[in-house]
Amino acid sequence: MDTTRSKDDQQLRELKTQVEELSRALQEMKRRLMLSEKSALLGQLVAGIAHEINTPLGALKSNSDLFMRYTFKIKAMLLDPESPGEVRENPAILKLFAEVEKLNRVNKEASDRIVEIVNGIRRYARKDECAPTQADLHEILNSTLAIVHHELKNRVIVHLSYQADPRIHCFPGQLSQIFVNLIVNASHAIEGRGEIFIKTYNRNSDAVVEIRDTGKGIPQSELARIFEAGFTTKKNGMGMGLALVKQMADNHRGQIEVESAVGAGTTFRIILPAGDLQE
Amino acid sequence: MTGLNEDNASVVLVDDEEMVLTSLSSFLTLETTYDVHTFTSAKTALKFIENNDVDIVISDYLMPEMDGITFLGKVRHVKPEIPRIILTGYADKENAIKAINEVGLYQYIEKPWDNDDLLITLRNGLEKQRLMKKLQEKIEQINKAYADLQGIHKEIVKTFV
Repeated sequence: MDTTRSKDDQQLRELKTQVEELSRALQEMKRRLMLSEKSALLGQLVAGIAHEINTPLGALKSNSDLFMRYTFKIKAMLLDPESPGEVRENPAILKLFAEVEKLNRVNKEASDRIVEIVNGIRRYARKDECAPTQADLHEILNSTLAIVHHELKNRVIVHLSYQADPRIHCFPGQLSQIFVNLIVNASHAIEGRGEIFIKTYNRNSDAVVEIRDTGKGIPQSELARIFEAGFTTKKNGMGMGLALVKQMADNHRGQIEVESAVGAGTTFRIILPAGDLQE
Repeated sequence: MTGLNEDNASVVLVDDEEMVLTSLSSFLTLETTYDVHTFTSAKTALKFIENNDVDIVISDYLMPEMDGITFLGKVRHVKPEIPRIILTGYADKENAIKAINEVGLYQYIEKPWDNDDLLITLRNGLEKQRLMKKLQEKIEQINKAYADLQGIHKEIVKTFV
């Protein structure tokens, strides 16, 4: 009898442990689900804001262009050989024009940059895209850089070398998310100041996007696990970034190559095959 | 259009946002000699189009009382010959493209727009309308000539039979 009971007790204890483990796993899944729902909601909100900004931004962009055109016309009228010499040769007037023209240039640059950022955000936030489309690889990279600018500025210098044929049939939102993840990771790997080299080129008919950083590098022992969901070495990391990158590269029938040396930096290469993707 | 002259074409702009209208009309006033009419209400714009000669219409997509596609559909109903252009934000792009076929739009322009692109689209739209008008005139001339010919043919037959 005693042996049966202790056997039962043993089984009960095992079951209890199993239930506890399952409940922990369930808690973790619940936490992840909440986080992903939160980020989906945030994505929608951001896409909505980007859309709302377009009307006032349209007016600003157009007006900054108009100020340049009007200044040009007014200047041409005042400096016309027909107009009186005290106007034409008045150094104060010329100085005023130089100032106005300078401000107009800055306004144009500023509004162009906002347009680029909004483009980047709406492209990035478009997770729901179901059909691949024809796009420009370098435009996607540029709009991605506009939205990660705050992460890099004054600390990381980005070097661009675009050599690939930029035409690509892809999910532009997903490509943008791949690049955001890789560039932000590269930036996180850099302690203090450093550099990121972004290069595109063609290897046979494939397009290759290479992102190299001068960061701390990934130890050989971890390299095999970086694409596993849940694997992370960051303090507050979820271990989802590179797992998603892998998934999204798969959606493009793409390959990822990684080379890393501790203390020297890491290179990621996304290899995207030519040709149309299936819907 | 005032005859076949593009220079004083009558342009109707519709957007519920005054700031967009101010910017667009200022640009057209600076760079063209078009006769520009702006409306924040699609209903008022429709009345104007019914009662006046208009050569081209540009309308915003998202508007409170009537969306741009419904409005341009109504414009087509009253004056099908006027080219219609929709101004749209990125999120409505797919709907806008669908509408190009459904209500026969000439073009769509994305916000934030580029002034030079906008002018090219506008000029091409007006050019298209001018050519269509010319074509219509030629067709009428041919029809008339054909009718005259038929008449002569009958006369000839009558004379000989």
